[in-house]
Amino acid sequence: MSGLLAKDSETTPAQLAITNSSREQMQNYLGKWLPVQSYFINQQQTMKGFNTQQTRGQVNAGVNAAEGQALNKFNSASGGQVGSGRMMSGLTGLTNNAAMSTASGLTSADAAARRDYVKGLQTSLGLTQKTGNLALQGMKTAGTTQAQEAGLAAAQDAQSQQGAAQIIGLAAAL
Amino acid sequence: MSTLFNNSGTAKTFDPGRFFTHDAPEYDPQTTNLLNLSRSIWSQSMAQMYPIQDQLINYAENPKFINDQVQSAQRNVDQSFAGQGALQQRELSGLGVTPTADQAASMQKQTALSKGLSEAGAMNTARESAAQTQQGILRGF
Repeated sequence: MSGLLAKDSETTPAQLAITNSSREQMQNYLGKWLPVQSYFINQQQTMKGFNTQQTRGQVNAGVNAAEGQALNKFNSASGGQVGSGRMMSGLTGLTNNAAMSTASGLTSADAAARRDYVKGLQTSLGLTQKTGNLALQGMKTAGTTQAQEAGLAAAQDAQSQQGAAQIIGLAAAL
Repeated sequence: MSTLFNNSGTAKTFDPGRFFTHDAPEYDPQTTNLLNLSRSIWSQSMAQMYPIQDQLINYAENPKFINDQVQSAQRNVDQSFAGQGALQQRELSGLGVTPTADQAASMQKQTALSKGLSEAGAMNTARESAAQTQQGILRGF
């Protein structure tokens, strides 16, 4: 294996395993996580408005359905009292209740959609930070292992040079 | 020679002349990979992470955020009551009924009371949930 400054040097099985696993971590990040992350974040941004509108639509549909049934009952029950004060008051109460339910439902829907969106932002942020750091850490670990190898090779090199110099010095002295 | 070290790649063959050239340095594959990965993470951060961070910070620190949500709740109430008012008119027209002045005044009073109650409820809900969202961003949900 060639490292930063290395000549060939031996790598222990454990070092090799760490290096390989670190490289896999980095490859995993670039090849798999990065596209998934990007997709998740893009989806979240694109769907923001849609999700809010969908939830609001569900609120409206629910209230309208309930109100429609109530109106039918009201109409059949007030057949003989059309135009009476009681009928007017009943109709006003019915529509006011529907308006209150809608307003309350829409406000809660907005709040829930916003909370979900913010939670999604936090998840996205956590993902990008965590996986990025993991990949970088993996790459650094692989680099450290190779640098250790390089250091070992350089030390062996220096040792052999020192030995040769000593022999030459000894020969010159003789 | 364009590399700091020559092809044998050891400290023994270190080339001090490299320091006096303007050639771009050539790194070993490991360092090059690390550089590329760091650049990739940086560009990823610039494109996705920092805009998300900005959005979160804006949600958490924008002093207008709560008031905006309260106003939005107010709009919800206005829209809902306007819609129901129109429906009420259609219903009355369908029945061929026109309220007398007293009846109309009574209905308006009844609606105003309901609307006031609805506004208070919706605005409180909006204020509370917006504050919870801001706190949730700062301390985690």
